[in-house]
Amino acid sequence: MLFDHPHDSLPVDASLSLPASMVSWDALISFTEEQTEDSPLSAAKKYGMKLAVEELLSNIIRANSSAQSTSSPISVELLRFADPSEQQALFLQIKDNGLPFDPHFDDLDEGVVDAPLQDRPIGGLGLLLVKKSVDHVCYQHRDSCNIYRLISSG
Amino acid sequence: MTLNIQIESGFPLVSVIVEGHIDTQSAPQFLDVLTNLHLSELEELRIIASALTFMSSAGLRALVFAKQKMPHSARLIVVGAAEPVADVIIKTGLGSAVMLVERIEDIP
Repeated sequence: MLFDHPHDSLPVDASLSLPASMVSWDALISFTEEQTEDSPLSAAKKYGMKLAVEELLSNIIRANSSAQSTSSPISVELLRFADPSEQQALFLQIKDNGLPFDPHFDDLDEGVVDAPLQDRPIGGLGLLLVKKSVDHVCYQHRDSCNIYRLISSG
Repeated sequence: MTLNIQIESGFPLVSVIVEGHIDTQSAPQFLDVLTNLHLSELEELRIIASALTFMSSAGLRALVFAKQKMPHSARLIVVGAAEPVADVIIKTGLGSAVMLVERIEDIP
């Protein structure tokens, strides 16, 4: 659904592209906060969007640091909907050209949250939080890039 | 995105006061503090979170780590967490292992 539009048909209103390493962390998070705070979302939805982006950036940077000796770029982009009636939503896109990584958002095991704490692995909550923190999230690998799209409204 | 941490120790009850962001960048600092608390001997660990503005899964992992290292009967209590932070704890199923209260006076 979020990839129904051809990529080039969605205007990018703002973007930031930096090396996918922790050196870029503060700038990427600040950019995301600016775009989120400027949106018409409620406080709870803004928090959820920032949380989802943070979790994805963290995964991408960790994967990049273990896979490559030099940092490939990572981008956070604010996309504009073609339909003016959807302007009350916030549409962010994250792109990187690291190794393909499909989180399979639709197939995530949500049963992990019911597991007794003592039996839980340390980890595994980040992608679940991404899914639970925004209205829609999806992934596509295209043109050698991992592309994550996130939308929230209201 | 700074994180400030203070410890008020009254062993076997320890309070950790957190202020700011617990995210991927700052969570190792939070985990370090928890790791140095002799968790296996604590009866109660209070995280005073009224000035905590953000917590990601990296912060949750530190909480899970702490609870797993504490005695089974020990209590992990998060005090004063803002609604979005408390919501993240609940969403990830940690609400049954972590006691959430609004004020210290609410701790039973």
